[in-house]
Amino acid sequence: MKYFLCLIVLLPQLAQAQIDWRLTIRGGQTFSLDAGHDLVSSYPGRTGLEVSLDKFVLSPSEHSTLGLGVAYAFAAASDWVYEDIDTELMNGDLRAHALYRWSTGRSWAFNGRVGPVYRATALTLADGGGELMAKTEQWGVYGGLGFDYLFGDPSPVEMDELFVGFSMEMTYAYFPENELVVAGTSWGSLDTSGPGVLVGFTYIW
Amino acid sequence: MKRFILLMAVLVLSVGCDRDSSFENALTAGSPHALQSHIAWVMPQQQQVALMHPDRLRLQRVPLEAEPRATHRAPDGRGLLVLDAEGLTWIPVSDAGAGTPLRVSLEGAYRRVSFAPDANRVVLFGEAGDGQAALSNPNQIAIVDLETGDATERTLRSYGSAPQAVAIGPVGPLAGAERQIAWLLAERYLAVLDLAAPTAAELVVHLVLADDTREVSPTEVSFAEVDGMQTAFVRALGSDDVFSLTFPDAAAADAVPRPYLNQLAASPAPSDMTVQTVADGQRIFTTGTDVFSITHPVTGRRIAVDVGLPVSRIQPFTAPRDDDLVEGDGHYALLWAEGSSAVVFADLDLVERRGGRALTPLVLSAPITALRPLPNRRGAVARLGEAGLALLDFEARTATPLLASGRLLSLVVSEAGAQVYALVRDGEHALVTVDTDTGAASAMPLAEGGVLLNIPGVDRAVVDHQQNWGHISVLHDETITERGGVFLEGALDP
Repeated sequence: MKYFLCLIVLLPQLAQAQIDWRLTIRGGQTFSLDAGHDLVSSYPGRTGLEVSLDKFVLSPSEHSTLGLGVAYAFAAASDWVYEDIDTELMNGDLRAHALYRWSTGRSWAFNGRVGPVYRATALTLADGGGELMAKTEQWGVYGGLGFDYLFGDPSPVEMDELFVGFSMEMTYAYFPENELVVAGTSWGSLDTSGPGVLVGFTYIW
Repeated sequence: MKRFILLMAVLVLSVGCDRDSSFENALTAGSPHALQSHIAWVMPQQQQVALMHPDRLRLQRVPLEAEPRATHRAPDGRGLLVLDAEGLTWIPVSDAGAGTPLRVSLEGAYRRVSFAPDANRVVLFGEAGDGQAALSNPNQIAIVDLETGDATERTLRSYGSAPQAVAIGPVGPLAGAERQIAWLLAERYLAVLDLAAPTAAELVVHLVLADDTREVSPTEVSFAEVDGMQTAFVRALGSDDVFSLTFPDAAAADAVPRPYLNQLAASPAPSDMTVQTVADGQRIFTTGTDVFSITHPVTGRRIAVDVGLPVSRIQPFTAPRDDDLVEGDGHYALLWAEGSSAVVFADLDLVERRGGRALTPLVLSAPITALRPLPNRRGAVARLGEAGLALLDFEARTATPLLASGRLLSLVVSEAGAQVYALVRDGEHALVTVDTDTGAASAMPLAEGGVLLNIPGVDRAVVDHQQNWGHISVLHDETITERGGVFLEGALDP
């Protein structure tokens, strides 16, 4: 965490980037590898949305840039279990990441990011007689690899203008297993780690 | 891009359709059973039995091989017998939890079960056949050894009737061999089997002569050792006598010994019976048409005591005596009739000598709907109507009324007899504890109502709130420990 804060403070002073900011709004799916997800749904995925804002602070070479970013993501799944119990799993993530971007200089750019994530998870089961909710909050690590395709074939000279593009990223989140105890009963361990895919739009200026 | 999309589709399809079937089936459980140190539920669609120790509060699951059809609790909560379409599963239960389940496959399907006193054997009967056949054989029975798993299915010779009930005696030496005699009660006759020799042909004891048109239906069997000989006493509807059956002649170990029938005078039209070893020896006690009778099992001498109050039931129990008339606890009984407001406390050790002076009547303010003796005390608790309780002390001859603020849903007595627990609903639900020595009552609110049980072995009151995913409240001294989502325990770790 200490080194991460140093990066935030020092990097903007090291070099002038070709572009300054990148905003992405993407939706997609995250998948659970843990069999415990069967309690939530027969489908292992959660549908979500992420809004990410990145500040580019360093350009080590003509085509590559380094940046820092923050993101908020939300994902949810709902289904039923045990024939008549409705289920809902929701998680909200606060993410901070370091971003590396390699651009072809034209439309295509490839991104990689990694950073810590703070996840709040709520698992709710409900039937006609009431509802039970398990809540947990935990730290994890988040990473992604993807690309942007900017519309309009921008040249490096024009990079100080606003460009819109298509963005896609494959992600992976790691969290330690977490025991859920509800009303004195341990439901067992829930591991929300897993891969995901995000698709959406990016705005660069 | 195409490859990536294909990869994701394969991932989703490969993991999206393989949820374990237990997640697809309802979690609903049947009524709870109070077993040895455990509360147990049968979950038909999950095909499992769930057990929980009320102190340890950890769920133990026992898988079943087929969907259960009926469940039977063994005497003293020693285990649970689960019947299904293909046979039965016997789950022995001790303080440590459920033992290794015993699976027994059966050809026939049976609805009714009779356990041996120590739950070592069981006789299944009633509605034999596959349960859906147009023609069934009500005389088909199954004898199952719950220790070895050996099962014998057979059809009894019938004289126009079929077993209505089965009573199993204790294991012991009888007629020259180690035997366990089962009495199958049919209209007008009894079939006698030796469960230690399950294939041996049964013997039939007719209670009336062939040309006698009286309907004499055996309804109750009690066992006792009289003059060193195991004896069965049979009460029958339509007879003023109690039938005494003994096996004086030795027989081969693989044959059923021949029973000898004797008729002993009892109360007129006896409605209940108990056989006890009291201060003067073995005696048969019967009630009928307000007469309480004491019959000597050998001489047949009967002493009738006019109770003067309507009594049809006998509830025997033991409690310490003030005198040294007998070694150990004294023998007592409550004589009463459902719907009557009178109860009579009978000192069984003294009633033969003192007659009516050994009976203590108490007349309560409302009709009695349930009556429970208090263990280790010369007292009882009576349920009066929908909202009343009375603590009966037969030493002081007092009946202390306790009025519930709402509807009294259920009532149990602790094993030690020191407390009575009641579930009361007055808008809100409450668990009421009554100290049987002082009569002091305290109430604790409950989130919901449910089924009240006292768990033997740990002597703990538990309320099962009958919720889909399991919800119980356990009374620990003066606090209630609540557990929600009991059946979800470990659900994330399938």
